[in-house]
Amino acid sequence: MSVASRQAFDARVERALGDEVLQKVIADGQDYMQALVAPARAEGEWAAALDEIARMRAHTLARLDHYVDQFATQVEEQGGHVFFAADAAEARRYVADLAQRQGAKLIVKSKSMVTEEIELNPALEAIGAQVVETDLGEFIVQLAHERSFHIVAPAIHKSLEQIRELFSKAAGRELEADANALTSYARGVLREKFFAADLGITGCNFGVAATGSVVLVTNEGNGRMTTTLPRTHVVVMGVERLVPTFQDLEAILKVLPRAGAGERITAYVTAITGPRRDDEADGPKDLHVVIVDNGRSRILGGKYEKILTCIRCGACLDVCPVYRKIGGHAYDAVYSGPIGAVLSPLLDGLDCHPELPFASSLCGACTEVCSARIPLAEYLRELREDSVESGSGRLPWRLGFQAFAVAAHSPRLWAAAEVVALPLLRLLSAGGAILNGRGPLAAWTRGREFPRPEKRSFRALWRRRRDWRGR
Amino acid sequence: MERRDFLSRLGSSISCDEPQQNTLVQSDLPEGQVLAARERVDLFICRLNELGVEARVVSSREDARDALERLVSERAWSGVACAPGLRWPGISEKWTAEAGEAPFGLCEADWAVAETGTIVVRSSAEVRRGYSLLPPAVGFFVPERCIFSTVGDVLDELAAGDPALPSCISFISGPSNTADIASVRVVGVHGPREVFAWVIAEAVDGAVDHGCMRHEAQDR
Amino acid sequence: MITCLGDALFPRVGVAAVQVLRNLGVAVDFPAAQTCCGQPAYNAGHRDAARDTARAFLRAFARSDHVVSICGSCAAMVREGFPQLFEGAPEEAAAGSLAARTFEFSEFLVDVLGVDELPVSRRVTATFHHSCHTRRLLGVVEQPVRLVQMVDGLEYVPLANAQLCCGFGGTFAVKMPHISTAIVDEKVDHILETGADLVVGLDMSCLMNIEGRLRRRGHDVEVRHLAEVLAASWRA
Repeated sequence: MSVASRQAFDARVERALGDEVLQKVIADGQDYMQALVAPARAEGEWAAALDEIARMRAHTLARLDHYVDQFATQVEEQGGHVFFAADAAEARRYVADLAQRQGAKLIVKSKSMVTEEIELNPALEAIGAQVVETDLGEFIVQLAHERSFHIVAPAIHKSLEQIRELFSKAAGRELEADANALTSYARGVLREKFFAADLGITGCNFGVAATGSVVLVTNEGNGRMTTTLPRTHVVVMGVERLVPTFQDLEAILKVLPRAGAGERITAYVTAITGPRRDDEADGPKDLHVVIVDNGRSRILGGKYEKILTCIRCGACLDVCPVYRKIGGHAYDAVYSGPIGAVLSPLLDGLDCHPELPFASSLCGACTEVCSARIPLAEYLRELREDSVESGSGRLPWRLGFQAFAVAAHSPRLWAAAEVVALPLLRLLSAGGAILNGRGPLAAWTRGREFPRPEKRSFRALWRRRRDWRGR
Repeated sequence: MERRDFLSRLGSSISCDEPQQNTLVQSDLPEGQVLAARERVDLFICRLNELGVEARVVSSREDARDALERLVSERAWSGVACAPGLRWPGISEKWTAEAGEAPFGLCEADWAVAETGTIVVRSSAEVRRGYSLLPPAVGFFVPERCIFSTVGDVLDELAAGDPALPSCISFISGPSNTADIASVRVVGVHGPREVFAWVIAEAVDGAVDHGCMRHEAQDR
Repeated sequence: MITCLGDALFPRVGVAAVQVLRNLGVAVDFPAAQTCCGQPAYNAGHRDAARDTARAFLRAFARSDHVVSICGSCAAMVREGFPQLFEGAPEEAAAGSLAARTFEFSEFLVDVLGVDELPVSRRVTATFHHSCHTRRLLGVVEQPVRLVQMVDGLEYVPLANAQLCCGFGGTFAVKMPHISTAIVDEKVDHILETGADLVVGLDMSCLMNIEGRLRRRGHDVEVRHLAEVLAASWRA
């Protein structure tokens, strides 16, 4: 953990902690989502659906090469093109080249985290295309030049007034501070873009291997617009986003809309299989599916493999006590929250996100709610082991734990250490608590009182147990 | 990257001891509720209402058409966009507007789901995607026979692969909506703002029925 | 199981636990070879140090029928962490055996001893803090609340957002003090909202964290381990 990296992290954290409005927005959002999803979680069927998701996704990963092969073949048979992108650069280059070849000047995008991961927008802008985010939350953060704040609700951190200001500036006139009015404005602006766009880019919630279908799970309708109006449709998907057959979507559709948005089902679930047929009158003439590895094959088959089964429901973000305080931007990664704290170091390398595995109290709430039964808290702990093993753990901690282990083996040594340390701690305390301690104590006492120890340890008292008062 | 290399990079990561078994083991998911026809319709209407869809049961296709004509006249809509096969004699020419400009779009459901209030529409040469997407208000004729109990039931139909998959299948559950602005729920974002549904409680005409033909065996 | 923290900083909790168990007719022993279960090192990613620490712990309890821990997260370390820590190691069987005999204090009273009433009285308004590992790893949720409600004269007020962590998290509290303090601040707010004069819990690590913040914010709400509350209010 470099000093500069840690300082930058602390600065991001402090900025979030100091923003009272933000604190309230995140906490209210979490409380709202938890209350919304609680009835579904209590249903007997819920646990069975999560088990099924975990089982089906594990099965898929265990044969991922076969399913990717099958999926690609099917897409091509339906008249689509498939590109295999080993990494972000390859994926960007393919889409940018395609856009350039087709002379695409205006590109509409439906929400896709993997396109943020591969940093697609700048590459398209570099070839002179205008890229417009059409998911309302993404539209907002695009206008604000910010990163997405939450996997499911990108602009959850923005207040009504902040959004009003943003939209008003873009519109060149003052808009009403009303969600309906602001949405109307966005609808009007984006409707024009949909009709004028040359190319539409979406992610893919799940690809169905048996049929080569791309399934989008949305509420706003921008996914449908993006995949219907422009002449070319590009799908960017992580290689792990596959299910074997349509039936495998059943468990996912029982869980994802509920865990992600508290709904029985989203307004739209759209299955796209190939470009428009020759006799069809609307839909894209050209379909390209870009399958992205970008580090996923490295995770496959390893101890963190289950992270690839994530269905991007966002439930972990809605229960995490750390996310509750620091919000999405403090993670400084495409994916935030508990899923991000695991996935980002795995995709980008621990040295890019050294603080993330340690920014957790390991409370286990994420593991408890995960729709795919990913042991997120355990993965965070294991990432810490990786960090320590790679030598980046600071020396005082290593030595401290090793010394502790030595003392732990010898009760006599342990007791002796207590005999020395306890009176010392009592001496250092003033008025019943220890203030302005040194070393590890300083980090504690910055915000909390430290308890004044008793004269004797328990083991010392035990030796005198015959003197204990009472029964 | 070349397809072969990409796939072999995946394959070399996988540590799977079992022999390649390409068919998925039967899922343990508990059987969804199996409802009788009447119950399906009742639940369907109930869910549609919850979603904010104006839903009604009518006893014939003629009644559905009448209801629609009344609605169009009430709203003074200048045109209706729909597939040629849905149009009926007697409606004026202004009813056949372009999807992108019409105030109302009409579709026939291929399938529907009672549990979630979902209407499923397949694209085809006649049925444009735009009919259920572009107008600010859309309506659906839902033959009773098309209504299944659960999403899983419809997914089974899709997986059966007959007829062949169209380029676009849309599962539509209510109007388009968002809560992305300060967590306030707004109805009508990029998709339609208003949704209507008429459940036709009788056997369907042959013409637009391909999705529902198989349902004869469903009612036991 | 007195735990390293209990031994060094909160001996009165151990004394209270022993008193309560004896009052309930249990013969209690304290195998002096016990020091630490290795959880701090384990959660911080120092696996080797954790295993070394825990090895001594395994030996200490080799001959105990039941191991009762005054700290839920330490009991969770033994039950959930040890099998992982010692997987494939020579101590694997011993770890499994200890895990099967280890209980958290309130769990032991309710599930093993079958306690459903206690001669305990105290007039006080109290709330309860569910520690995360005790709740999520041990599944111990109702037992301590039932015991608290057995105290005659005690008015129990549940805590809002009870499922929220208190922000201790072992080394997290000192490695990420800014976040940890923000989290415990909310916990303190919820405690104050209940109007309770007493906060009861099962983990001194959580309670130390909560009390530390309460005092820094100038509040004198009493913070006690369940064992202390029961022992102190036991009717003669």
